[in-house]
Amino acid sequence: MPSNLHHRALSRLSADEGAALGRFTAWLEGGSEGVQILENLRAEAHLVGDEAFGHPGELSAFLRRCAVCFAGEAAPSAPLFAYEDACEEFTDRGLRIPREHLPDNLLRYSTSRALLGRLIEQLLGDQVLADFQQDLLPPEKACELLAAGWDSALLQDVMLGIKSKVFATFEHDQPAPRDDATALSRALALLFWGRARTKEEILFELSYPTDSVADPRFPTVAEAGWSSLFQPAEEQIPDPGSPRTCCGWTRPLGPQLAQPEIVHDNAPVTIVQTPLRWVGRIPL
Amino acid sequence: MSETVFQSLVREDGSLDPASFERMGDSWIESWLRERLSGRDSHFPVDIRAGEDPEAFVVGFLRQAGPAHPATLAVSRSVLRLLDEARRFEPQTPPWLIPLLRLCQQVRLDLVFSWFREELQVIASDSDAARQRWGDLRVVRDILLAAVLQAPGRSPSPAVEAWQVLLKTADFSSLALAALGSSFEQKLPYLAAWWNHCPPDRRGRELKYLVYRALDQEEPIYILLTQVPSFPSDLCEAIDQELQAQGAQPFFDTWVPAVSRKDPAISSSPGNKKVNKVFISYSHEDQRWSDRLAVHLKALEIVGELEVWDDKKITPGESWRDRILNTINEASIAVVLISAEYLSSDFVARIEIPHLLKERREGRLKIIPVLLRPCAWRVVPWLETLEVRPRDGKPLTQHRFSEMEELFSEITEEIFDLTNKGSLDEASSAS
Repeated sequence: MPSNLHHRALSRLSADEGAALGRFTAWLEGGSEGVQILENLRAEAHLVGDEAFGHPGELSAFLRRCAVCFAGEAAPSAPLFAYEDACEEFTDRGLRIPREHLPDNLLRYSTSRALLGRLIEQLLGDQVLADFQQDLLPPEKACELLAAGWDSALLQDVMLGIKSKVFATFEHDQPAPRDDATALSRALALLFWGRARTKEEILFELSYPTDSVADPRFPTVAEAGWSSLFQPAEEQIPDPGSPRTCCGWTRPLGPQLAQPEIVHDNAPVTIVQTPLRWVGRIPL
Repeated sequence: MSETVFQSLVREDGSLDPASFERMGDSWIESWLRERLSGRDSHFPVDIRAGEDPEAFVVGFLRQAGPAHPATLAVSRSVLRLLDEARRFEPQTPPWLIPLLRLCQQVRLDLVFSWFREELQVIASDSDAARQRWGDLRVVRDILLAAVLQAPGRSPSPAVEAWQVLLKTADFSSLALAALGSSFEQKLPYLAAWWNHCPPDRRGRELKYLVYRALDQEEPIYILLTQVPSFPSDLCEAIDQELQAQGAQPFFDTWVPAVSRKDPAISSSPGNKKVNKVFISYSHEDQRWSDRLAVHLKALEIVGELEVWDDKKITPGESWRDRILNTINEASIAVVLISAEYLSSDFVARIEIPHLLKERREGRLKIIPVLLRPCAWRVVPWLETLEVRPRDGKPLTQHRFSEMEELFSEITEEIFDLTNKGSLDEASSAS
């Protein structure tokens, strides 16, 4: 269902821009992931930049930017990269979430062995890292050792994520299967589901105070990039009396309950005061 | 759309088909790899939300395909070309280099051995210059971490010398130790050099893992430690501390006189040795053999020549570990009944044998190993320096009963001779 915001953003485009956007849309419709991306674009309701809820200026600028590379007659050489570039430019432009609309603690779930490797290197040493990289030390054991020796003050230059904004979730009244990696990854709609996969995944949890991160916002299609399983937040004015309106929610794959989803500025792992928690392996 | 073009690469179960992938050709693979590792993939997009590592997809693919698959070789050729290309960027770091090195840290690729060996030698010859050349210590460390897998230093690897040099370089000593051996046993010859060169603020955590890993892998750490001629005293102390911290018995601590022992329950000093005490060490599977030997020795006990001790004399509620160690400390002779069960006993390997060997090394104990049943005793290092009975190396159970009795008699007489001489020095020099 297209949002009102999307509708109003479209109305701000010129005829030429509308035509280019049409070619962009046609390109998206060429594949199943693209169709879902297009649906998400149409449902986007919180890409308002620094404006208040419902302001269409930022979304129209984003759509204009998406269409730019389709402005000429010739098809762009790398349309997916062009779309990702547009997304990159418009990250950090979702509706701001007031601190009082969030709980005291945030959770980030990661599948990154590279992040785990950096933590191992700095907290446990080179030999653990060498064994971990060569699969001589299973990741669950590595996490056990990390948890036992956790001292975030020792961590230098290790960030939660690699982009300027990172996704996070939090505990709420609808429980999440936090000890079941497969179920949790499906509740969070992590992107490896439905895609070509070459290996089993790992999942671990980092927990940190909300006050230690800056600029929490609604996640938008721009932060999601080419992530078709992302679900834009419903078009409702945030109301603390109705928690569902105060953040984004995942589109679970299967029977799991949707989980809250926000983005905030990337931050050093030093904010993670409690030990990292191993969730589990997700088989291929 | 990307997925229609590359649908043929993906099987119905969602996995990647190596054969179809390989048919895309080297040029396509190299270009794909460069983009993929830079975090951009128009064919198999990188998952931003979960923080996917760009190299992870490739690592999984290579492990699935296996080292001999043509697709793996094709990727290896591309990896090598990219590594060569990275040298032309120096001192800049192309966006794909760190993920490429992380890939090389996880999957062994035969074709890249020479590249890593060359870099290893350059870094070993002048690590400061290497750091300047690559522009960042991080890159040099990632190169070395990949070299641990691609060009390890276990003999007879041609990379061993470079790793031995790096063992003495503060920033890289622990990586070098990892490259020179994956087990405690392989690392042992390098442990003292590593300890002396690893920065003190890092070596504690490294040693913690070394001990953890050895215990976790059930390596015979106590026996291995007896084979080391000498360690720096602070390393000995640190090893003991780690062993105790991880719930194991200290090793070096049991070497020192009673006054400095941490465990007051265990008494030991050459002064409290009872010359005529015989300690029988055996597996409970071999109880009847121990009993039979005890019968032979009983004759000497009756005439007051000696006291025979085995673990049946431990009373309920008594600390059996302390009692055994105390008895070893007091005994002048130990008869060790060898069988597969005995050699595979955790307690024997970790506690009894190291303690027996220590007492022997200190000249306070003679050890008489008796081969009971067939087992691989010839490959057990601590038995190499001892004279096994029967002297023909044939286990007792392969002799006739009368021959067994004869052998026990001989052992009894041997013990009688030793105790009658009453000279421990003489005893310990005999075996």
